[in-house]
Amino acid sequence: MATLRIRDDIVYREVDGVIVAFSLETGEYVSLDDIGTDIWRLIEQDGRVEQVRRAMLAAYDIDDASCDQELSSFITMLQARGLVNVDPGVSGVGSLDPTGKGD
Amino acid sequence: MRVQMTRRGVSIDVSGSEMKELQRQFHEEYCILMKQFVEPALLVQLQEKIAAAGFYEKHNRDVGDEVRMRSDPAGSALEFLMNDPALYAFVREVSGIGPIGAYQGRVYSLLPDTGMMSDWHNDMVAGRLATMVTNLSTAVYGGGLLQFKRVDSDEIVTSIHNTGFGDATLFKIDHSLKHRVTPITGTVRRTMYAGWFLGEPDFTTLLKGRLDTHSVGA
Repeated sequence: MATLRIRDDIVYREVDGVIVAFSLETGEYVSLDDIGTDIWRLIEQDGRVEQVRRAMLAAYDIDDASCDQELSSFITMLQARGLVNVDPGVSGVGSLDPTGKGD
Repeated sequence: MRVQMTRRGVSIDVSGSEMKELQRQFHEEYCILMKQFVEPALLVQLQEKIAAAGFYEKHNRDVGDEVRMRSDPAGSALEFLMNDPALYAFVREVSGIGPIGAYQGRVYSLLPDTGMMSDWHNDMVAGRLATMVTNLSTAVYGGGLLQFKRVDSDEIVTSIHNTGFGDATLFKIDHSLKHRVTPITGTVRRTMYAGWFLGEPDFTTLLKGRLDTHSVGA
């Protein structure tokens, strides 16, 4: 099961209710929206992608497929911006498949 | 008491009695010291970035010379974390100053064996409400005492050797007061993040102009 971890070189805090993150590596800011902020908080608590997915399904009126698509897209953005590291987990599957089932 | 900058923002845990003592110190001794203001793990990261950053010589008229860090992510991170409403509220409660719009500072060093120091001055430039200086030095420097006196006296009222790693001083600025930093001795440079709480500009407004915003499900 893939696990997300906020990188150590990221500093962040809430600004007007949403997370703003700053990278000590790139010198760039990224601001998340309300849902992105909720996901960020979930990653802080328990970075297992499957746990984040379950929490999203419980919190939002969203179907499984849409949830998987949105979460996968969001994780890809977090990775691309250098905000999180992704541990593919014991299965060794590098996929960001939020269901944890792998490719 | 804990007043600490972490990579997740500023965390404040101060009891009522501790706050009263801080207020007394600020008004009677003009300065308070916050131990380990910068969380040790964050401090190490910032120190590594600062060590790799470029510095340039800067002459501050009627005060003295310093070397100042060029624009660097370490400076931006410090600025971002210092401009935390939780820290604003703490500073206002301790000092009694008016609303804070921003903290603006710079990373600078005083080098040993150069005569670098800050002579008596009062920081009183329009808009400045209070001064805060954080020790980012990587070793204990010699000299570099932060001292305060009243303008009508030569008596040193307060003298602080802020050498604790990540420790910070918050101090009062007023036309009736002056402060200085004595010359550095020994072989270790004194590196600080120093600046002022200001009434304006509004930092959040400035910050929003720098943000790259990402939405989920947009």
